[in-house]
Amino acid sequence: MKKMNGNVKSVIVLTAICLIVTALLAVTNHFTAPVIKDARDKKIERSLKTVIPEMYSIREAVIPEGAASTVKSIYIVNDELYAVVLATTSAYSSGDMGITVGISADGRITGVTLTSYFESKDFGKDTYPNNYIGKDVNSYADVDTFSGVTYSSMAFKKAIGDALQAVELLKGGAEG
Amino acid sequence: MKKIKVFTNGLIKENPVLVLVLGTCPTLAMSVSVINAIAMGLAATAVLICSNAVISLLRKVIPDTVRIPCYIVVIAGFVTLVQMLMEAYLPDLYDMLGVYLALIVVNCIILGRAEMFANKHNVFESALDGLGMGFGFTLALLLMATVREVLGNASFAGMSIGFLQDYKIPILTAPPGGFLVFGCMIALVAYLTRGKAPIKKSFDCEGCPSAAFCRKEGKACGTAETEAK
Repeated sequence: MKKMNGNVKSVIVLTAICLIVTALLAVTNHFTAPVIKDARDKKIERSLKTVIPEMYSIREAVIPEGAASTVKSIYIVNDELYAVVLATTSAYSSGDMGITVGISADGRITGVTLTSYFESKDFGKDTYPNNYIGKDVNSYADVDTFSGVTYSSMAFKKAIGDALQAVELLKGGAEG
Repeated sequence: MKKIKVFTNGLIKENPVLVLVLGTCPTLAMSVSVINAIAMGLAATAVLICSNAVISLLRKVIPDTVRIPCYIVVIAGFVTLVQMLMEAYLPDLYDMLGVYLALIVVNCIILGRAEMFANKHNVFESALDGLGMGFGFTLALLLMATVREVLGNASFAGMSIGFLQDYKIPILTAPPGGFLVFGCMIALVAYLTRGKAPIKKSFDCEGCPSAAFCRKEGKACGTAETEAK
């Protein structure tokens, strides 16, 4: 009987602690969620300006059917350029890799930037993303992966391909 | 006087990283740059103080059988709280710390101090211990990061050091360099604190966290019955 009471007390205490912690986190989330959303939006806005510096107008397009799941949003900039926001992961990734790609009307990459990366700190902050500038859906695969961060650069390359394919699908849909 | 000792113990004599050799994973990962080291140290310190205080406050309420899950829930709660606040108000720092911020949950220093100190002392002493251990962790990270960044990258806190540019030792910023600096620092602290550092407990009955249970149940450690369990 005494042992059973002990077990019941253990369950009650653990449950109560879990509930209190959850409530505390819910309150914190209530206050920080809008600030976090704003910070993320600003980060995406900054990345759009990085890949397409001269931006006069921007509108969000509907992601075409058949686009890869890594494509999170597509923007039509200045009525002729495309900016694709992607989130992908590598085999060993501990968090999403955020990438924004600028694509011209003729389907060539105008700029690439890595917005979030949770692995080796140097990848994406050097000149590696610039290797994709000028490439299109047929030539992006020619860019080599990055030694030392092979899986991340493979995931990066695949995401670039997904962005190019998504824009092709979008253009195809618009023409059709 | 005793209170001051509780605080200063964590700085050198019982430094969690260089003497107790706890929290090695974040130490090696985040000591590549001084800014990362300070940010990681302060985040861990905040969690240490809060979790130590709460665990001390609840030490008479939490039953022994579920104490570890309770500690983990409290620690994970504070880490998530710090994560949310950092992502909201210090997004650049949040990006810099990456996955290691979430990994504070499994940082041995925090669980270790909860088990070794907070569940035996009052709230004020536990918070003070958290502060001392947190500062000790930050200090160790800062020293390691200074060596690695200055000698490995010829910079300090991101600011380039001109005259060292031609004398960089790049291996120091790589994982093997981290182990090398870590080993040298442990040796240095062992030399400086010789005879004063706590003697590590052996793997006998006294060093076992379940020793108290065994005694309560009336079993002698090392008996066939205990070992079978």
